[in-house]
Amino acid sequence: MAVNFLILMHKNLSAADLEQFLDLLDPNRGQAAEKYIALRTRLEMFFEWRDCENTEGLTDIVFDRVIKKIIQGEKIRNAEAYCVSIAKFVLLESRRERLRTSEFDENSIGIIANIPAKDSIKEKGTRDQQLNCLEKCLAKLSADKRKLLTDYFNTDEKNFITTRKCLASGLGITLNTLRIRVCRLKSILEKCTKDCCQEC
Amino acid sequence: MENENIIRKFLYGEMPEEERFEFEEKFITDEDLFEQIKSFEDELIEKYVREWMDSAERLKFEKYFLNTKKRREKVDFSSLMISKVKEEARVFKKNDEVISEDSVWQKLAGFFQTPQIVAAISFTILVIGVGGWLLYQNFGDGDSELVENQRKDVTQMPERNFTPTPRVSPDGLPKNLKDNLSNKDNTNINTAVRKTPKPANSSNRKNPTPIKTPIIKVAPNPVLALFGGTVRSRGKNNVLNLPKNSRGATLMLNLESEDYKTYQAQLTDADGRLVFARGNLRARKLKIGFFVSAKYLKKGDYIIKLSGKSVRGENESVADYQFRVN
Repeated sequence: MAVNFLILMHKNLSAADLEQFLDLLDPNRGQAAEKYIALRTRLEMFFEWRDCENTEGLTDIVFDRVIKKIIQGEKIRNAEAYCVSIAKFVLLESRRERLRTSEFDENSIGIIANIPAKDSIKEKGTRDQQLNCLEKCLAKLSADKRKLLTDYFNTDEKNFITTRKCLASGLGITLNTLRIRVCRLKSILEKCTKDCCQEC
Repeated sequence: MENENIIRKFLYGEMPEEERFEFEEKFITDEDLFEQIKSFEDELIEKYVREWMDSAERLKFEKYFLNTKKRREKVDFSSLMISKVKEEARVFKKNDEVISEDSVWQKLAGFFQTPQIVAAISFTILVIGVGGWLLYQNFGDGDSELVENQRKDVTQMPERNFTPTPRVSPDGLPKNLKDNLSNKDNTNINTAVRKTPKPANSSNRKNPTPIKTPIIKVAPNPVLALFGGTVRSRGKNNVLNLPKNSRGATLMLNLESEDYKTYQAQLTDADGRLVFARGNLRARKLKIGFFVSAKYLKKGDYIIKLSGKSVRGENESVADYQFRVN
């Protein structure tokens, strides 16, 4: 299944090539697929935190190149570390391309951020749709997860640290772990809402 | 804490390039660090949408964080999700209060059995009831009987249709209350009661209906922070949710610099009509705040045109701020 998934992502590569890559990640195919997805997420965030828009495309390029290197016979010990070094090159190339194709100027970051507002009526419609989808996605969460979100965010500026420390203590986890748990829940909701909006 | 400072530097692009590459290598190969960065990022976004950031950090956030579509969408989603979750929390709290009310009353029922407690509570309720009635009289039509009677030229009160509470004796005061209030108060209250005409329908006295002391619930006036210079501030149109009973809202305009001594703000609606204007505004710590009455803030889109008064006395445009009232 993992190989089929990868084939869909990297159509110009054969199943055998992709299997080699997965073997590098983990000898267990199931674990390898999970590691691939986790690595992919981290690479996408790497590009996002570097202000790149097309994070999925750039991540695909990284994996394409890593797999090609494997095909060419390059000995790779640590697939993740190798992906990082390739990602840096892809980032630099992407920046050069942006500089070449646009009038991007480091001093005009403020101007780039000034993207014109969408039509307010259209935006209101989108927001309503987003809200409906969010409600549907919240309803899909279990009661305890929903309560966790409610308890986590139902606080004010003065007390939020204390409230969350108490919440974490009540759950028998650290504050850090609580934050990560809520972050994961939020990601799930965000993805669910996005998928729902796209279907509408 | 040290880790958080490093992550903050990373997210705001304040790391030297070499250090940054090293850090990126770390988080791509370390799932725990990656999760920490993501959760810290989420917390930054939350602080931003909930306006828990100081102005310096907010400016930094807008400059370094809101410059990709994905991140603006993240901020939008966070704002939506947090409002939705807070709304749910309010509903849950209300339901909990309704459920627990019964059990609280059940517990108190036993407490009320003792005669001394009954007497004490009854007396307290009477005091509150009379006090509330007096307050109602004061705030009712603006013609407070107490205020009237403190003046030397006491005038007759206009006729009012009301009936005393069941516990009030014919002269308008419970006997035990008279004994406990001060003479001055007694005089005022007695005078007030004497001055009050008899109700038109005296048969009402036989079956008096309790007066409900109106509790005027005033909703808090919201504060909306606005940023100029960008058409879409903070990655979204600013929305002011004005509660029904609020008197209005305070609009806080953020400035990039204080170039003028005084400013003028003109509030126009979606059709460009001038709705409200306020002049002689002064900036304080790069902010200009002013109150706008709810009657000027009907549902719709608005633009605030901020101008500064130059040395020559001319109005010079500073920034426009957009927002929507829901």
